[in-house]
Amino acid sequence: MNQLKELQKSSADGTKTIQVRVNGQIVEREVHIRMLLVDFLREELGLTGTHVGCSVEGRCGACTILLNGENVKSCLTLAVQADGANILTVEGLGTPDNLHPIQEGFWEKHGLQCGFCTPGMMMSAYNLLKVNPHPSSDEIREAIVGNLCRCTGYEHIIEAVQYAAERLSSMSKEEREKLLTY
Amino acid sequence: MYPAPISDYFAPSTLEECLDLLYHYGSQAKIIAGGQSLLPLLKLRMVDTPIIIDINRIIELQEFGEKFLEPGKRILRIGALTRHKTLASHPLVLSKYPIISDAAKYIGDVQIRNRGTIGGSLVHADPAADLPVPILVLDSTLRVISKDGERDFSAEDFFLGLMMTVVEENEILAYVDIPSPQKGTGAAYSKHSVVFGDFSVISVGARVTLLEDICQSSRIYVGGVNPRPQRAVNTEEFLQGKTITSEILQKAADVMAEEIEVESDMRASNTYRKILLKHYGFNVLSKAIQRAKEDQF
Ligand SMILES: Cc1cc2nc3c(=O)[nH]c(=O)nc-3n(C[C@H](O)[C@H](O)[C@H](O)COP(=O)(O)OP(=O)(O)OC[C@H]3O[C@@H](n4cnc5c(N)ncnc54)[C@H](O)[C@@H]3O)c2cc1C
Ligand code: FES
Ligand code: FES
Repeated sequence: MNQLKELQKSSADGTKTIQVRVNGQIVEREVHIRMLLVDFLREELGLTGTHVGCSVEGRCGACTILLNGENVKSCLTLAVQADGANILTVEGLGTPDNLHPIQEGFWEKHGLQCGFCTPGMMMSAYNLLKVNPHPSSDEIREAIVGNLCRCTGYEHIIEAVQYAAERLSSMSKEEREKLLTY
Repeated sequence: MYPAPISDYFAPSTLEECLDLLYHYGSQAKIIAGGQSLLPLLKLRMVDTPIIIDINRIIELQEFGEKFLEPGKRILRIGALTRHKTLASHPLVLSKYPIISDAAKYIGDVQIRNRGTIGGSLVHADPAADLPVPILVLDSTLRVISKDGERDFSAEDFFLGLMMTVVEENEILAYVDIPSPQKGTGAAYSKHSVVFGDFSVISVGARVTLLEDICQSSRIYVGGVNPRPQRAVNTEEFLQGKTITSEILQKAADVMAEEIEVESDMRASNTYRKILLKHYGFNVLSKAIQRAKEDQF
Protein backbone atom coordinates (compact mmCIF):
# COMPACT_ATOMS: atom_id res chain seq x y z
CA MET A 1 0.00 0.00 0.00
CA ASN A 2 1.16 3.50 -0.72
CA GLN A 3 2.48 5.49 2.17
CA LEU A 4 0.10 8.19 3.37
CA LYS A 5 1.65 11.41 4.47
CA GLU A 6 0.05 13.86 6.81
CA LEU A 7 0.56 17.27 5.34
CA GLN A 8 -0.12 19.25 8.51
CA LYS A 9 0.13 22.43 6.48
CA SER A 10 -2.24 25.13 7.48
CA SER A 11 -2.42 28.44 5.68
CA ALA A 12 -4.55 30.66 7.97
CA ASP A 13 -6.85 31.46 5.05
CA GLY A 14 -9.51 29.05 6.18
CA THR A 15 -8.32 26.15 4.07
CA LYS A 16 -5.99 23.21 4.49
CA THR A 17 -4.69 20.53 2.18
CA ILE A 18 -5.50 17.03 3.32
CA GLN A 19 -4.68 13.58 2.10
CA VAL A 20 -6.89 10.60 2.84
CA ARG A 21 -7.25 7.05 1.65
CA VAL A 22 -10.84 6.47 0.62
CA ASN A 23 -11.93 2.98 -0.42
CA GLY A 24 -8.32 2.12 -1.20
CA GLN A 25 -7.47 5.21 -3.21
CA ILE A 26 -5.36 8.08 -1.99
CA VAL A 27 -6.79 11.51 -2.69
CA GLU A 28 -5.46 14.97 -1.91
CA ARG A 29 -7.62 18.09 -1.77
CA GLU A 30 -7.61 21.60 -0.43
CA VAL A 31 -10.67 21.97 1.79
CA HIS A 32 -12.29 24.60 3.97
CA ILE A 33 -11.56 23.96 7.61
CA ARG A 34 -15.23 24.21 8.42
CA MET A 35 -16.12 21.51 5.89
CA LEU A 36 -17.70 18.42 7.42
CA LEU A 37 -16.29 15.05 6.48
CA VAL A 38 -19.67 14.00 5.05
CA ASP A 39 -19.70 17.01 2.71
CA PHE A 40 -16.12 16.28 1.70
CA LEU A 41 -17.09 12.75 0.69
CA ARG A 42 -20.24 13.80 -1.14
CA GLU A 43 -19.27 17.09 -2.72
CA GLU A 44 -15.53 16.85 -3.23
CA LEU A 45 -15.30 13.16 -4.03
CA GLY A 46 -18.78 12.55 -5.45
CA LEU A 47 -19.33 9.61 -3.11
CA THR A 48 -23.02 10.25 -2.54
CA GLY A 49 -23.77 6.88 -0.96
CA THR A 50 -23.02 8.47 2.39
CA HIS A 51 -26.26 10.27 3.25
CA VAL A 52 -27.19 13.32 5.31
CA GLY A 53 -30.33 12.82 7.35
CA CYS A 54 -30.50 14.86 10.53
CA SER A 55 -27.72 17.29 9.61
CA VAL A 56 -27.39 19.04 13.00
CA GLU A 57 -27.42 16.85 16.04
CA GLY A 58 -25.82 13.71 14.65
CA ARG A 59 -28.50 11.28 15.63
CA CYS A 60 -29.73 9.51 12.46
CA GLY A 61 -26.60 7.62 11.44
CA ALA A 62 -27.23 7.93 7.67
CA CYS A 63 -23.74 9.44 7.34
CA THR A 64 -21.97 6.53 9.08
CA ILE A 65 -18.62 5.55 7.57
CA LEU A 66 -15.54 3.68 8.76
CA LEU A 67 -12.76 6.01 9.90
CA ASN A 68 -9.52 4.17 10.68
CA GLY A 69 -11.48 0.97 11.12
CA GLU A 70 -14.29 2.22 13.35
CA ASN A 71 -17.78 3.36 12.48
CA VAL A 72 -18.33 7.06 13.10
CA LYS A 73 -20.78 9.72 12.00
CA SER A 74 -19.13 11.74 9.25
CA CYS A 75 -21.37 14.73 10.01
CA LEU A 76 -19.73 14.96 13.45
CA THR A 77 -16.16 15.17 12.15
CA LEU A 78 -14.38 17.92 10.25
CA ALA A 79 -12.79 16.86 6.97
CA VAL A 80 -9.45 18.30 8.15
CA GLN A 81 -9.56 15.92 11.11
CA ALA A 82 -9.45 13.01 8.68
CA ASP A 83 -6.05 14.07 7.32
CA GLY A 84 -3.97 10.92 7.02
CA ALA A 85 -6.91 8.64 7.73
CA ASN A 86 -8.20 5.46 6.15
CA ILE A 87 -11.86 5.73 5.17
CA LEU A 88 -14.33 3.14 3.96
CA THR A 89 -17.68 4.25 2.56
CA VAL A 90 -20.52 2.14 1.21
CA GLU A 91 -19.04 2.50 -2.29
CA GLY A 92 -16.04 0.54 -1.07
CA LEU A 93 -18.03 -2.50 0.04
CA GLY A 94 -18.74 -4.30 -3.22
CA THR A 95 -19.79 -3.85 -6.83
CA PRO A 96 -23.19 -4.60 -8.46
CA ASP A 97 -21.67 -7.78 -9.95
CA ASN A 98 -19.86 -8.73 -6.82
CA LEU A 99 -21.84 -7.69 -3.77
CA HIS A 100 -20.27 -7.69 -0.33
CA PRO A 101 -21.95 -10.34 1.90
CA ILE A 102 -23.51 -7.47 3.89
CA GLN A 103 -25.03 -6.02 0.71
CA GLU A 104 -26.13 -9.51 -0.28
CA GLY A 105 -27.86 -9.86 3.08
CA PHE A 106 -29.83 -6.64 2.60
CA TRP A 107 -30.77 -7.81 -0.91
CA GLU A 108 -31.77 -11.33 0.10
CA LYS A 109 -33.65 -10.42 3.27
CA HIS A 110 -35.30 -7.23 2.00
CA GLY A 111 -33.41 -5.20 4.59
CA LEU A 112 -34.54 -1.92 3.09
CA GLN A 113 -37.51 -0.05 1.69
CA CYS A 114 -36.63 3.51 0.69
CA GLY A 115 -32.94 2.78 1.19
CA PHE A 116 -32.05 6.08 2.80
CA CYS A 117 -30.66 4.56 5.99
CA THR A 118 -29.11 1.58 4.21
CA PRO A 119 -25.53 2.76 3.57
CA GLY A 120 -25.13 3.81 7.21
CA MET A 121 -26.74 0.58 8.41
CA MET A 122 -24.30 -1.44 6.34
CA MET A 123 -21.30 0.41 7.74
CA SER A 124 -22.48 -0.23 11.30
CA ALA A 125 -23.07 -3.88 10.39
CA TYR A 126 -19.50 -4.02 9.02
CA ASN A 127 -18.12 -2.64 12.27
CA LEU A 128 -20.10 -5.23 14.24
CA LEU A 129 -19.18 -8.25 12.13
CA LYS A 130 -15.51 -7.33 12.28
CA VAL A 131 -15.43 -8.00 16.02
CA ASN A 132 -18.41 -10.29 16.49
CA PRO A 133 -18.77 -13.01 13.83
CA HIS A 134 -21.97 -14.46 15.35
CA PRO A 135 -24.03 -11.62 16.81
CA SER A 136 -27.34 -12.34 18.53
CA SER A 137 -30.32 -10.28 17.46
CA ASP A 138 -29.95 -8.19 20.64
CA GLU A 139 -26.31 -7.52 19.82
CA ILE A 140 -27.32 -6.42 16.31
CA ARG A 141 -29.98 -4.12 17.77
CA GLU A 142 -27.41 -2.55 20.06
CA ALA A 143 -24.96 -2.12 17.19
CA ILE A 144 -27.52 -0.14 15.14
CA VAL A 145 -28.98 2.02 17.91
CA GLY A 146 -27.25 4.97 16.23
CA ASN A 147 -28.84 4.25 12.84
CA LEU A 148 -32.46 5.26 12.44
CA CYS A 149 -34.73 3.62 9.89
CA ARG A 150 -38.16 5.07 9.27
CA CYS A 151 -39.42 2.34 6.94
CA THR A 152 -38.56 -1.22 7.81
CA GLY A 153 -39.29 -1.66 11.50
CA TYR A 154 -35.76 -3.13 11.73
CA GLU A 155 -36.73 -6.85 11.67
CA HIS A 156 -35.53 -7.37 8.11
CA ILE A 157 -32.37 -5.42 8.77
CA ILE A 158 -31.55 -7.77 11.62
CA GLU A 159 -32.17 -10.77 9.38
CA ALA A 160 -29.95 -9.18 6.73
CA VAL A 161 -27.08 -8.84 9.19
CA GLN A 162 -27.57 -12.41 10.37
CA TYR A 163 -27.52 -13.59 6.77
CA ALA A 164 -24.25 -11.72 6.21
CA ALA A 165 -22.78 -13.20 9.39
CA GLU A 166 -23.58 -16.72 8.16
CA ARG A 167 -22.20 -16.09 4.69
CA LEU A 168 -18.99 -14.67 6.13
CA SER A 169 -18.47 -17.49 8.59
CA SER A 170 -18.85 -20.05 5.84
CA MET A 171 -15.80 -18.55 4.14
CA SER A 172 -12.12 -19.23 4.65
CA LYS A 173 -10.24 -17.04 7.10
CA GLU A 174 -8.41 -15.27 4.26
CA GLU A 175 -11.58 -14.50 2.33
CA ARG A 176 -13.30 -13.28 5.45
CA GLU A 177 -10.40 -11.03 6.36
CA LYS A 178 -10.31 -9.56 2.88
CA LEU A 179 -13.96 -8.61 3.25
CA LEU A 180 -13.81 -7.24 6.78
CA THR A 181 -10.46 -5.70 7.60
CA TYR A 182 -10.59 -2.22 6.17
CA MET B 1 -25.43 22.45 7.79
CA TYR B 2 -22.10 24.26 7.86
CA PRO B 3 -20.29 25.78 10.83
CA ALA B 4 -19.30 29.45 10.48
CA PRO B 5 -15.95 29.93 8.69
CA ILE B 6 -12.89 28.87 10.67
CA SER B 7 -9.65 30.57 9.73
CA ASP B 8 -7.05 28.20 11.12
CA TYR B 9 -6.62 24.63 12.28
CA PHE B 10 -3.79 23.09 14.29
CA ALA B 11 -3.19 19.48 15.15
CA PRO B 12 -0.30 19.51 17.65
CA SER B 13 1.40 16.21 18.34
CA THR B 14 2.75 17.03 21.79
CA LEU B 15 1.21 18.54 24.89
CA GLU B 16 3.88 21.23 24.96
CA GLU B 17 3.02 22.40 21.45
CA CYS B 18 -0.63 22.42 22.37
CA LEU B 19 -0.02 24.54 25.49
CA ASP B 20 1.96 27.02 23.37
CA LEU B 21 -0.97 27.30 20.97
CA LEU B 22 -3.40 27.77 23.84
CA TYR B 23 -1.11 30.40 25.34
CA HIS B 24 -1.11 32.37 22.08
CA TYR B 25 -4.65 31.80 20.89
CA GLY B 26 -6.57 30.74 24.02
CA SER B 27 -9.37 33.28 23.79
CA GLN B 28 -9.84 32.78 20.04
CA ALA B 29 -9.41 29.03 19.92
CA LYS B 30 -11.53 26.00 20.68
CA ILE B 31 -10.11 22.59 21.47
CA ILE B 32 -11.67 19.70 19.58
CA ALA B 33 -11.44 16.16 20.96
CA GLY B 34 -14.17 13.77 19.80
CA GLY B 35 -16.19 16.68 18.43
CA GLN B 36 -19.43 14.92 19.37
CA SER B 37 -20.65 17.93 21.34
CA LEU B 38 -18.63 20.66 19.67
CA LEU B 39 -19.70 19.91 16.08
CA PRO B 40 -23.44 20.29 16.76
CA LEU B 41 -22.71 23.57 18.58
CA LEU B 42 -20.58 24.84 15.68
CA LYS B 43 -23.31 23.90 13.20
CA LEU B 44 -25.96 25.69 15.23
CA ARG B 45 -23.54 28.63 15.46
CA MET B 46 -23.87 28.55 19.21
CA VAL B 47 -20.08 28.41 19.13
CA ASP B 48 -18.20 30.49 16.58
CA THR B 49 -14.43 30.21 16.71
CA PRO B 50 -11.64 31.47 14.44
CA ILE B 51 -9.26 28.68 15.42
CA ILE B 52 -9.59 24.96 16.08
CA ILE B 53 -6.98 23.00 18.00
CA ASP B 54 -7.34 19.28 17.39
CA ILE B 55 -5.84 17.35 20.32
CA ASN B 56 -6.36 13.86 18.91
CA ARG B 57 -2.69 13.31 18.08
CA ILE B 58 -1.31 14.10 21.52
CA ILE B 59 0.04 10.85 22.99
CA GLU B 60 0.28 12.25 26.54
CA LEU B 61 -3.49 12.61 26.64
CA GLN B 62 -4.02 8.96 25.71
CA GLU B 63 -2.57 7.52 28.89
CA PHE B 64 -4.70 4.82 30.50
CA GLY B 65 -3.83 2.47 33.34
CA GLU B 66 -3.07 1.92 37.03
CA LYS B 67 -0.15 3.70 38.68
CA PHE B 68 1.47 4.18 42.05
CA LEU B 69 1.62 7.89 42.80
CA GLU B 70 3.56 7.09 45.97
CA PRO B 71 4.06 3.80 47.82
CA GLY B 72 0.65 2.48 48.87
CA LYS B 73 -1.29 5.05 46.85
CA ARG B 74 -2.55 3.39 43.72
CA ILE B 75 -4.72 5.21 41.19
CA LEU B 76 -6.32 4.59 37.82
CA ARG B 77 -5.16 7.34 35.45
CA ILE B 78 -7.52 8.11 32.59
CA GLY B 79 -6.07 10.44 29.94
CA ALA B 80 -8.48 13.07 28.63
CA LEU B 81 -8.50 11.48 25.17
CA THR B 82 -9.71 8.10 26.41
CA ARG B 83 -12.78 7.24 24.34
CA HIS B 84 -16.13 6.19 25.80
CA LYS B 85 -15.65 2.89 23.98
CA THR B 86 -12.56 2.10 26.07
CA LEU B 87 -14.29 3.10 29.31
CA ALA B 88 -17.25 0.89 28.42
CA SER B 89 -15.26 -2.25 27.66
CA HIS B 90 -11.71 -2.19 29.07
CA PRO B 91 -11.05 -5.30 31.22
CA LEU B 92 -9.52 -3.18 34.00
CA VAL B 93 -12.64 -1.00 34.16
CA LEU B 94 -14.97 -3.99 34.05
CA SER B 95 -13.17 -5.88 36.81
CA LYS B 96 -12.25 -3.10 39.25
CA TYR B 97 -14.16 0.09 38.38
CA PRO B 98 -17.43 -1.18 36.87
CA ILE B 99 -19.35 2.02 37.78
CA ILE B 100 -17.41 3.73 34.99
CA SER B 101 -18.51 1.24 32.37
CA ASP B 102 -22.09 1.40 33.78
CA ALA B 103 -22.00 5.06 32.71
CA ALA B 104 -19.98 4.83 29.50
CA LYS B 105 -21.71 1.90 27.85
CA TYR B 106 -24.99 3.73 27.32
CA ILE B 107 -23.60 7.06 26.11
CA GLY B 108 -25.31 7.80 22.82
CA ASP B 109 -24.60 4.95 20.41
CA VAL B 110 -21.65 2.96 19.04
CA GLN B 111 -20.56 5.76 16.69
CA ILE B 112 -20.64 8.39 19.46
CA ARG B 113 -18.69 6.10 21.83
CA ASN B 114 -16.05 5.46 19.16
CA ARG B 115 -15.29 9.19 18.96
CA GLY B 116 -16.38 10.87 22.21
CA THR B 117 -13.77 11.31 24.96
CA ILE B 118 -13.92 11.57 28.72
CA GLY B 119 -12.14 14.95 28.60
CA GLY B 120 -14.68 16.38 26.17
CA SER B 121 -17.58 15.08 28.20
CA LEU B 122 -16.28 16.46 31.52
CA VAL B 123 -15.29 19.87 30.16
CA HIS B 124 -18.54 20.18 28.19
CA ALA B 125 -20.34 19.54 31.53
CA ASP B 126 -23.80 18.91 30.16
CA PRO B 127 -26.04 18.45 33.22
CA ALA B 128 -27.47 15.26 31.70
CA ALA B 129 -24.09 13.76 30.74
CA ASP B 130 -23.20 10.37 32.16
CA LEU B 131 -19.51 10.52 33.09
CA PRO B 132 -19.54 13.42 35.58
CA VAL B 133 -21.54 11.36 38.13
CA PRO B 134 -19.11 8.42 38.53
CA ILE B 135 -16.17 10.82 38.48
CA LEU B 136 -17.74 12.65 41.44
CA VAL B 137 -18.77 9.45 43.21
CA LEU B 138 -15.23 8.07 43.03
CA ASP B 139 -13.62 11.20 44.56
CA SER B 140 -11.45 11.70 41.50
CA THR B 141 -8.79 14.33 41.00
CA LEU B 142 -8.64 16.24 37.72
CA ARG B 143 -5.39 17.71 36.39
CA VAL B 144 -5.70 20.94 34.42
CA ILE B 145 -2.59 22.29 32.65
CA SER B 146 -1.53 25.51 30.98
CA LYS B 147 1.79 27.07 30.07
CA ASP B 148 1.71 28.76 33.47
CA GLY B 149 1.52 25.51 35.39
CA GLU B 150 -0.67 22.73 36.64
CA ARG B 151 -3.78 22.82 38.79
CA ASP B 152 -5.42 19.85 40.51
CA PHE B 153 -9.10 19.85 41.38
CA SER B 154 -11.29 17.47 43.24
CA ALA B 155 -14.25 16.49 41.06
CA GLU B 156 -16.50 18.34 43.52
CA ASP B 157 -14.66 21.62 42.80
CA PHE B 158 -14.28 20.99 39.06
CA PHE B 159 -17.94 21.38 38.01
CA LEU B 160 -19.26 24.89 38.51
CA GLY B 161 -22.68 24.79 36.91
CA LEU B 162 -24.56 24.46 33.64
CA MET B 163 -21.83 23.65 31.08
CA MET B 164 -19.31 25.41 33.28
CA THR B 165 -16.10 24.07 34.79
CA VAL B 166 -12.92 25.54 36.23
CA VAL B 167 -11.03 25.03 32.93
CA GLU B 168 -9.91 28.40 31.53
CA GLU B 169 -9.43 29.34 27.88
CA ASN B 170 -5.67 28.75 27.92
CA GLU B 171 -5.95 25.46 29.81
CA ILE B 172 -6.46 21.83 28.98
CA LEU B 173 -7.83 18.96 31.05
CA ALA B 174 -5.04 16.39 30.87
CA TYR B 175 -6.23 13.43 32.92
CA VAL B 176 -8.43 12.12 35.69
CA ASP B 177 -6.97 10.16 38.62
CA ILE B 178 -9.25 7.74 40.42
CA PRO B 179 -8.15 6.29 43.76
CA SER B 180 -7.98 2.51 43.80
CA PRO B 181 -10.83 0.82 45.70
CA GLN B 182 -10.66 0.22 49.45
CA LYS B 183 -11.64 -3.18 50.75
CA GLY B 184 -15.38 -3.71 51.06
CA THR B 185 -16.26 -0.93 48.65
CA GLY B 186 -18.67 -1.14 45.73
CA ALA B 187 -20.11 1.43 43.35
CA ALA B 188 -22.78 1.54 40.67
CA TYR B 189 -24.50 3.93 38.25
CA SER B 190 -27.73 3.87 36.31
CA LYS B 191 -29.80 6.31 34.32
CA HIS B 192 -33.26 6.72 32.93
CA SER B 193 -33.61 8.14 29.43
CA VAL B 194 -36.62 8.62 27.15
CA VAL B 195 -34.98 6.71 24.32
CA PHE B 196 -32.39 3.96 24.88
CA GLY B 197 -28.89 5.42 24.92
CA ASP B 198 -30.02 9.03 25.13
CA PHE B 199 -29.11 11.73 27.67
CA SER B 200 -30.50 11.01 31.11
CA VAL B 201 -33.79 12.23 32.57
CA ILE B 202 -32.29 11.32 35.90
CA SER B 203 -29.20 9.35 36.83
CA VAL B 204 -27.89 8.03 40.13
CA GLY B 205 -24.39 6.99 41.12
CA ALA B 206 -23.44 5.57 44.51
CA ARG B 207 -20.44 4.19 46.32
CA VAL B 208 -20.75 2.27 49.59
CA THR B 209 -18.12 0.87 51.95
CA LEU B 210 -19.27 -2.00 54.16
CA LEU B 211 -17.82 -3.74 57.18
CA GLU B 212 -19.83 -6.86 57.96
CA ASP B 213 -23.00 -5.46 56.43
CA ILE B 214 -22.68 -2.15 58.27
CA CYS B 215 -22.35 0.95 56.14
CA GLN B 216 -19.06 2.68 56.99
CA SER B 217 -19.36 5.46 54.46
CA SER B 218 -21.07 6.30 51.20
CA ARG B 219 -21.01 8.85 48.41
CA ILE B 220 -24.11 9.49 46.34
CA TYR B 221 -24.73 11.87 43.42
CA VAL B 222 -27.82 12.48 41.31
CA GLY B 223 -27.45 13.76 37.75
CA GLY B 224 -29.74 15.02 35.02
CA VAL B 225 -31.94 17.20 37.20
CA ASN B 226 -29.85 20.21 38.17
CA PRO B 227 -27.26 22.45 36.48
CA ARG B 228 -24.67 20.07 37.89
CA PRO B 229 -24.90 16.71 39.68
CA GLN B 230 -26.18 17.14 43.23
CA ARG B 231 -24.77 15.26 46.20
CA ALA B 232 -27.35 13.40 48.30
CA VAL B 233 -25.89 14.33 51.68
CA ASN B 234 -28.93 13.40 53.78
CA THR B 235 -29.07 9.97 52.20
CA GLU B 236 -25.39 9.43 52.95
CA GLU B 237 -26.00 10.43 56.58
CA PHE B 238 -29.05 8.19 56.77
CA LEU B 239 -27.03 5.16 55.68
CA GLN B 240 -24.09 5.85 57.98
CA GLY B 241 -23.65 3.12 60.60
CA LYS B 242 -26.78 1.23 59.56
CA THR B 243 -26.94 -2.50 58.96
CA ILE B 244 -27.90 -2.78 55.34
CA THR B 245 -31.18 -4.53 54.59
CA SER B 246 -33.51 -4.21 51.66
CA GLU B 247 -35.88 -2.19 53.87
CA ILE B 248 -33.13 0.29 54.80
CA LEU B 249 -32.25 0.76 51.12
CA GLN B 250 -35.90 1.41 50.32
CA LYS B 251 -35.97 4.08 53.04
CA ALA B 252 -32.69 5.55 51.79
CA ALA B 253 -34.21 5.90 48.31
CA ASP B 254 -37.14 7.78 49.87
CA VAL B 255 -34.73 10.14 51.64
CA MET B 256 -32.95 10.66 48.30
CA ALA B 257 -36.16 11.53 46.47
CA GLU B 258 -37.02 13.90 49.32
CA GLU B 259 -33.73 15.81 49.43
CA ILE B 260 -32.91 16.22 45.73
CA GLU B 261 -34.41 19.33 44.18
CA VAL B 262 -35.94 18.30 40.90
CA GLU B 263 -37.52 20.45 38.25
CA SER B 264 -39.99 19.77 35.48
CA ASP B 265 -38.87 20.15 31.90
CA MET B 266 -40.01 18.90 28.52
CA ARG B 267 -38.71 15.41 29.20
CA ALA B 268 -40.30 14.75 32.58
CA SER B 269 -42.35 16.39 35.33
CA ASN B 270 -40.85 16.72 38.78
CA THR B 271 -43.42 14.25 40.19
CA TYR B 272 -42.34 11.64 37.67
CA ARG B 273 -38.69 12.35 38.37
CA LYS B 274 -39.27 11.78 42.10
CA ILE B 275 -40.82 8.40 41.31
CA LEU B 276 -37.89 7.55 39.05
CA LEU B 277 -35.45 8.61 41.77
CA LYS B 278 -36.92 6.19 44.29
CA HIS B 279 -36.76 3.35 41.79
CA TYR B 280 -33.25 4.06 40.49
CA GLY B 281 -31.99 5.09 43.93
CA PHE B 282 -32.95 1.69 45.34
CA ASN B 283 -31.55 -0.26 42.38
CA VAL B 284 -28.24 1.57 42.29
CA LEU B 285 -27.70 1.26 46.05
CA SER B 286 -28.52 -2.47 45.88
CA LYS B 287 -26.05 -2.95 43.06
CA ALA B 288 -23.34 -0.98 44.89
CA ILE B 289 -23.87 -3.13 48.01
CA GLN B 290 -23.69 -6.31 45.98
CA ARG B 291 -20.42 -5.12 44.45
CA ALA B 292 -19.09 -4.05 47.86
CA LYS B 293 -19.49 -7.66 48.94
CA GLU B 294 -17.45 -8.68 45.89
CA ASP B 295 -14.91 -5.85 46.31
CA GLN B 296 -15.80 -4.12 43.03
CA PHE B 297 -15.42 -0.39 43.12
C1 LIG C 1 -26.44 11.84 19.26
C2 LIG C 1 -25.65 12.08 20.51
C3 LIG C 1 -26.03 11.44 21.68
C4 LIG C 1 -25.30 11.65 22.86
N1 LIG C 1 -25.71 11.01 23.99
C5 LIG C 1 -25.01 11.19 25.12
C6 LIG C 1 -25.39 10.51 26.33
O1 LIG C 1 -26.33 9.71 26.36
N2 LIG C 1 -24.66 10.75 27.44
C7 LIG C 1 -23.58 11.59 27.46
O2 LIG C 1 -22.96 11.76 28.49
N3 LIG C 1 -23.20 12.23 26.34
C8 LIG C 1 -23.88 12.05 25.19
N4 LIG C 1 -23.46 12.71 24.05
C9 LIG C 1 -22.27 13.60 24.09
C10 LIG C 1 -21.01 12.77 23.89
O3 LIG C 1 -20.79 12.01 25.02
C11 LIG C 1 -19.75 13.57 23.66
O4 LIG C 1 -18.79 12.64 23.27
C12 LIG C 1 -19.15 14.34 24.83
O5 LIG C 1 -20.06 15.10 25.53
C13 LIG C 1 -18.11 15.32 24.37
O6 LIG C 1 -16.90 14.68 24.18
P1 LIG C 1 -16.03 14.94 22.89
O7 LIG C 1 -14.76 14.25 23.11
O8 LIG C 1 -16.79 14.61 21.68
O9 LIG C 1 -15.77 16.51 23.03
P2 LIG C 1 -15.77 17.70 21.98
O10 LIG C 1 -17.09 17.82 21.35
O11 LIG C 1 -14.59 17.60 21.11
O12 LIG C 1 -15.55 18.92 22.98
C14 LIG C 1 -16.53 19.32 23.91
C15 LIG C 1 -16.05 20.56 24.66
O13 LIG C 1 -14.97 20.25 25.51
C16 LIG C 1 -13.79 20.99 25.14
N5 LIG C 1 -12.69 20.04 25.35
C17 LIG C 1 -12.60 18.78 24.83
N6 LIG C 1 -11.52 18.14 25.33
C18 LIG C 1 -10.91 19.00 26.18
C19 LIG C 1 -9.75 18.92 27.03
N7 LIG C 1 -9.01 17.80 27.13
N8 LIG C 1 -9.42 20.01 27.77
C20 LIG C 1 -10.15 21.15 27.69
N9 LIG C 1 -11.26 21.28 26.92
C21 LIG C 1 -11.64 20.22 26.18
C22 LIG C 1 -14.04 21.47 23.74
O14 LIG C 1 -13.36 22.66 23.47
C23 LIG C 1 -15.54 21.66 23.74
O15 LIG C 1 -15.88 22.88 24.31
C24 LIG C 1 -24.17 12.52 22.86
C25 LIG C 1 -23.79 13.15 21.68
C26 LIG C 1 -24.50 12.94 20.51
C27 LIG C 1 -24.06 13.63 19.25
S1 FES D 1 -26.45 13.10 9.19
FE1 FES D 1 -27.59 12.26 10.82
S2 FES D 1 -26.01 11.39 12.04
FE2 FES D 1 -24.91 12.34 10.48
S1 FES E 1 -35.32 1.91 4.49
FE1 FES E 1 -36.21 3.86 4.54
S2 FES E 1 -35.20 4.72 6.24
FE2 FES E 1 -34.59 2.70 6.37
